[in-house]
Amino acid sequence: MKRKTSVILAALALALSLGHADAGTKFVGSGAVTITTQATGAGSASGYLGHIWNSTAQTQYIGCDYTAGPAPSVMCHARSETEQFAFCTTGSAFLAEALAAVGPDVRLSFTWNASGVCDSITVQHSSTFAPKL
Amino acid sequence: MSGRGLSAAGLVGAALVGASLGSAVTWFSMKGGVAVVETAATPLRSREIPAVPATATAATSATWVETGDDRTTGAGVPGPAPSPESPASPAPSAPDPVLALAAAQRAHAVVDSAIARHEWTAADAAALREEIDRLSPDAREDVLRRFAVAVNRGALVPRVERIPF
Repeated sequence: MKRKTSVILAALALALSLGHADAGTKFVGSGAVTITTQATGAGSASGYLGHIWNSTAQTQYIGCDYTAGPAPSVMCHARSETEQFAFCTTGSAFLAEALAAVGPDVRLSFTWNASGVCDSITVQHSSTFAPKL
Repeated sequence: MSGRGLSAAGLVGAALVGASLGSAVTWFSMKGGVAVVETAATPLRSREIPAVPATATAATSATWVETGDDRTTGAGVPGPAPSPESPASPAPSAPDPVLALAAAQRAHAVVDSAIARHEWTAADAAALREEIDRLSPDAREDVLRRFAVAVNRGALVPRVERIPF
């Protein structure tokens, strides 16, 4: 009886460990909006869309708006839980292309210069990121 | 836009990170006036990361397209005479430069006032929204950049719950 119990427990442990292995690597950070600014007014912002949506945080956001047309316009904006704000804009059709890669669960980051002009937009997809629930 | 370059160092670094995390990274950046795209990817099946197109809103600046005299029929092509029975589709009108200038002045005044108060309120957002679609693309960029610089330097603190506009 004792031996039977041990076998069952071993099988259960094996099943649990296999299940964990199948789950895949997960991003373990908070994924919250992070904003860094320099004395010049330039800076960067980043955040994980799925993590932000799923978190209990109430005020943070990050995103970019794209207005298409003869003069395309991109506006990126972010707000952290520590009440930092970031905003940049650009008329670059090239940077606007980056927004086509944005999905609901990506890591989005952007940087801007001292004139408030967005000078990079980064979109990262990863199996490690949490989806919006 | 000018050509695209590729940073080998960035690619190698990103590839290492991407390989370790199973990720795909795309950078779009402007370096010295040159558009640069850098990518590093490990294959991800499309069912795992569905491609979702960015939301594109209707171009407010489309009203700035010069339409000439033949606004409804195309240049040089005579169209049918407008019928009083058929509803005429509203033709996009070229902006009145005087009105556009006045709108730009009001938009800048909204930003100036907010900076003086050191806060961006819902009323400011509504006032700017009222003017923004009347601006030329260049004037729109000017106003938004002034707003951006003020926010990024902490001279203007948004007091609105969601995005500034």
